[in-house]
Amino acid sequence: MTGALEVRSLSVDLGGVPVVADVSFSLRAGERLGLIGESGSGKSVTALAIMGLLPEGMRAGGRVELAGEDLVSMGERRLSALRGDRIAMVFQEPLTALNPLMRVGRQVAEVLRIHRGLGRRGAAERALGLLGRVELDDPAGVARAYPHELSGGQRQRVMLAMAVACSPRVLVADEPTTALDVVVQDQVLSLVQRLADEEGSSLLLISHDLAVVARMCERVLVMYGGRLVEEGPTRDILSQPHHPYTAGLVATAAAVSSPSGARRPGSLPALPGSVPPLGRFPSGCVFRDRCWRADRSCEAVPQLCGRDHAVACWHPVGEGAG
Amino acid sequence: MSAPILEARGLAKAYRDRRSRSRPGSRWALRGVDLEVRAGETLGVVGQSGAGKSTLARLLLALEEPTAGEVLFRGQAVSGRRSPGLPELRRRVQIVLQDPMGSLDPRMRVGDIVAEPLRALRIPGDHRARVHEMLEAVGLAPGAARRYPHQFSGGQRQRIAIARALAPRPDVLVADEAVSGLDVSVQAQVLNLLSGLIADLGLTTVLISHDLAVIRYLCRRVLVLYQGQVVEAGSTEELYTEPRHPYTRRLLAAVPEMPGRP
Repeated sequence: MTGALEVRSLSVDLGGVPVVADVSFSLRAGERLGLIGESGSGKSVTALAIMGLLPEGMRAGGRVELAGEDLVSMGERRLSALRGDRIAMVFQEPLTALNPLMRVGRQVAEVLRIHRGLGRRGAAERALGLLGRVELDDPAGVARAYPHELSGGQRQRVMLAMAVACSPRVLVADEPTTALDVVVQDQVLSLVQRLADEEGSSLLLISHDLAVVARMCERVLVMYGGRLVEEGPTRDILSQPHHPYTAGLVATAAAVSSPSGARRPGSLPALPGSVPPLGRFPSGCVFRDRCWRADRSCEAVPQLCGRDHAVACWHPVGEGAG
Repeated sequence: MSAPILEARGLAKAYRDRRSRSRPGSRWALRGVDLEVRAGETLGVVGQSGAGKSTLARLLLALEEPTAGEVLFRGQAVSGRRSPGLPELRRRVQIVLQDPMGSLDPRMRVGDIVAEPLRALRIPGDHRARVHEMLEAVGLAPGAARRYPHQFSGGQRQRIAIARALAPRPDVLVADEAVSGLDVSVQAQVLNLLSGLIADLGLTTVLISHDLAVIRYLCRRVLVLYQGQVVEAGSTEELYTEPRHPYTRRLLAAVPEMPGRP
């Protein structure tokens, strides 16, 4: 069975510097898959490469298959027809993704006019219905508003209405709730989950927040230095991470959110160093300059190995334990 | 129990509402906030955006004047330009803000940035030595003094902001979203640094954040701010395990949880 989206050896380079290297995964039909990584890990570039929206200067290689068609080698015309229709994306900051000069209702309607060929009246009516479906209190009022007149949460709901307007096979959401308050984040996450279910869309959720992905996704990919370093069921990855990088992230996130009773100052487990700038990752294993388990063998690039729970590491954590 | 070092009584702040032309008047950012921080204590202030957190920070530092109520530092009023307690407050209470790129002058070398409060407050002594001492305390190499803010990562810039705040040996540190917006691994490093410095220097700390996990990690006592008012206050553990106010419950319920290890 092929998935809703098949990513095969996807790479992106910027003037000869690899930003994303050899990324392969499949997004199964109806699945919610998380992509975790810190800033500079290449997760947003991966999303843009999938959507064919890479900024100037960046070039993608490899294949991204959507229903048998390769998006990487596809011409812009065909891509424009698929984008917003069969595959849609929600960005972190809807204010920059929405047209500031166009009323919100028209922007939602535009998607339907372009992809579904609806007339002005019909599209406007459907747009109103969509704004109601994303649980906006006053759909008609929101439809008449300009993006800057809405709150961050309202704007993200509008983006979601546009994204699901054509019931896409694949919904890519890049940090959709990072700029939102925790209460609004909670509502928007529930909404994303409900909409993806109702539309039968597969969800690729990109986030730096392990807890958000734990709540939303059945399976998770961990990215570092433009490479996938671990992949598996969310429960397994969070309870028994194999890659030292994942293990560090999980330990930190778990410790920060645990009760403060037993803590000592400065006792939080923290990965040493920080994510290096582009082009400064080490050769071989991209994490070896920050890794406490690294040795000579890490000078060679480890491949992602394993069937259900896979890791790209020469010295995985908890080897043999599970 | 010792007297409070920093105190707010009935603190309120109204801003002219420019958003609504039909309803001219005031928007209350803060209404009747009382708080007390005792020496060595770590107080958390948690709330969503628009709750009045940053207004509270500016009032506590006397960067703005309250519409009503007052701020006291060691029992002396500091609200108002000629308040007797103001000079002492300027030296003894320092702040670290969220975005160090916005609060560090890009044209100044890091050494000058860290020395600036020493000069501005006319603190006697060897400023160069103090700068090096502070850079070391926050885990930066002495060479950092000659470089510019843009040459550092986000986490390093936050270390610079902490060094600057602590250079004049304040008694109280106000941290307004000081670890927000940082990557998980970097956030953990900065939290470790902050908690270490708070303990070593015996700093009194007011930590303002929307992040309930960060507050829980660093603070023993916490206030929940909602629409400019304190809706709940208490020991951190009590509040997190038995929240009483419906808003606090809603806030805690909204936090996605990390599943526990088996």
